[in-house]
Amino acid sequence: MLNALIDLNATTYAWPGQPTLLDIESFSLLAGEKVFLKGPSGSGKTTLLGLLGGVYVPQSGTIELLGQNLASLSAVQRDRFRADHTGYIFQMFNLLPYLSVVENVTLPCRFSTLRRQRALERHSDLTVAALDLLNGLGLADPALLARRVTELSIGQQQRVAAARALIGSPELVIADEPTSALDADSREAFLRLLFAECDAAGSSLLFVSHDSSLEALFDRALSLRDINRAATAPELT
Amino acid sequence: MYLLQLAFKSLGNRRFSAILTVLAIGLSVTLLLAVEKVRTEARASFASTISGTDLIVGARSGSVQLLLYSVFRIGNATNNIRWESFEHFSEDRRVDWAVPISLGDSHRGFMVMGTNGDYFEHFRYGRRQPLAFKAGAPFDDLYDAVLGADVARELGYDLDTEVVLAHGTGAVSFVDHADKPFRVTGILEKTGTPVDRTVHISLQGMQALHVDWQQGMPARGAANVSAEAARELDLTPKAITAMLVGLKSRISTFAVQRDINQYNGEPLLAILPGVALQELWSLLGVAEKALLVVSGFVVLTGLVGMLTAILSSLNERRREMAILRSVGAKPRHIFGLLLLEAASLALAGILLGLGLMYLGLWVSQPFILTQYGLYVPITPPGMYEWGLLAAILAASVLMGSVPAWRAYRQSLADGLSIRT
Repeated sequence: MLNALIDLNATTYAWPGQPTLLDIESFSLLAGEKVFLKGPSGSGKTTLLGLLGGVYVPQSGTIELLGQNLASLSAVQRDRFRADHTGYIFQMFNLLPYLSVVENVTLPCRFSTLRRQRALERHSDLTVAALDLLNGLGLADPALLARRVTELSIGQQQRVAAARALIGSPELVIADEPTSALDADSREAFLRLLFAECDAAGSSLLFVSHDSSLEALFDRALSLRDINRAATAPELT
Repeated sequence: MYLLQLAFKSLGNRRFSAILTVLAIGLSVTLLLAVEKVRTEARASFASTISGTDLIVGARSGSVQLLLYSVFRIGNATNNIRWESFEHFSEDRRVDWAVPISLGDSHRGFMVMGTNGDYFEHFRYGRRQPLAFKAGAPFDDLYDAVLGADVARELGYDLDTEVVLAHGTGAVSFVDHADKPFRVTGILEKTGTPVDRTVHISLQGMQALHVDWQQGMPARGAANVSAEAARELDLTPKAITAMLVGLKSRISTFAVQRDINQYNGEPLLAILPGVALQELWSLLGVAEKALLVVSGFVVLTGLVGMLTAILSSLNERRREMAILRSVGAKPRHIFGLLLLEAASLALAGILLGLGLMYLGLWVSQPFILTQYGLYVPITPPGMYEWGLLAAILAASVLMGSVPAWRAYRQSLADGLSIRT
């Protein structure tokens, strides 16, 4: 049986001086799984990602990543753990404007020795590894890669961000609304490329979005409100 | 090492404000180094105003005052010394040479100094350099004058120019010696000392100017003695302002000084030029230090500018920090990144400042030499300058730790969430 990559057990978190925001009885994500987590803004989604990234520590309960209880690690160890095992894709403007496309992609290998080693196991050097990933995500044109990242389209930028999340084959890729800035057609195309590369890298995917139109593409879909016992009534907007 | 690359690239992305910051620091460093340079060179030049003279003798007053009027031609003597005193000490067996100096007249703002031919032979400045003639020769006739380099240049005088001296030392005088004009027979080379601003005449010439004066006013009518008639008179001076003394052996310096100070004929004061120069410089040292303090503050202003630039950029760079955190940068990386930025800016500023200072020195060196007679050598920074520059770098790192600390706190609080 596949091991659980993420395992939350009776995890609670509250911001100082505020009521409990998250209270998750249990949540797990298996290795190789692609899970859609629906969460509107204000539902504690960002806080959950912060907990999974080891930036925050839950007040009670446990968060295990790869069988490692994050709370038992020091802040520095959690930082390293995150860098080694998790790739992130954010909503937009994921890239550092002063680095080239390839430099942006190889950035995680500068901070994680493990991911650097993994990238170099399959490729002669980091640039080749980055180009290979970019190629898989449909960014092969050398002229395109020579551009400043701010001159790329949003869709292209998100694919560069995906390549960055995947370099060095982290066990987990967390995507936080990566498609919300894209139009409907390119969303699905982006997802298919992302899925293919996650499979190639052997990475699991936790995809967080408020847009449920995409959930059918995933192995499994669930709503943060359903697993969060501290969830309040839907927001009045 | 990769952090340094990141810092450079991030700065390159904000190159406009980075260049301005570097420029501000660079200019302030230039100012500091220039002030420091001028300070040390002025000090060296000051100390080289007189050399090779063992004692300066004048009427009893303060040593700084005696130095000021006898060497720098600033201020007036409170009293004269009698010619007999000069003769007495110039004949002392320990004395190698003695040169009389008589001050009190001027020519268009330049001091007139009465002396004798020995002056051109024995006076030394700088590293015991003697006076050299650019043109002509020492005075020979009663009404001959030798000009300092600045006098000749500024007034456009040449050999054989007629010069009318004025009584008193003001730039504008209402009483002049129009009846006894002088002729320029020599022009000295530039020395960078007050000699350049002096008109030298013989003591007898000085005496002739005043031979017919009574109670500080020129004689009128029949009492007036013409220039030619004055030649016939005994023009041995009755008094002089000061005398420069060279000794046969420097070992006797203090003994001779004591003898002069205890002279029974009249109250005299003998000073060692080096000691008096030190004393005077310690007075001027206050102004000199003030200058250094001011330029220190200018550097501080430059660094505060850098601090402002980095601090104000922090907010718009929260996204950058969050991205770095998400790819595995630890908060201490963020801290290091900002510290490296501050250090790079300061280092670039210091290098720019050094470059500008040497460029400026190279360009202005000939100008300073001809205008002020100050030769400012182009030498590598000394230990003191390196110390100053290191202190600037250290201060910038210290100041850089303020935004670095803020970014560190900010990135801990923001975590991976991007806030803009």
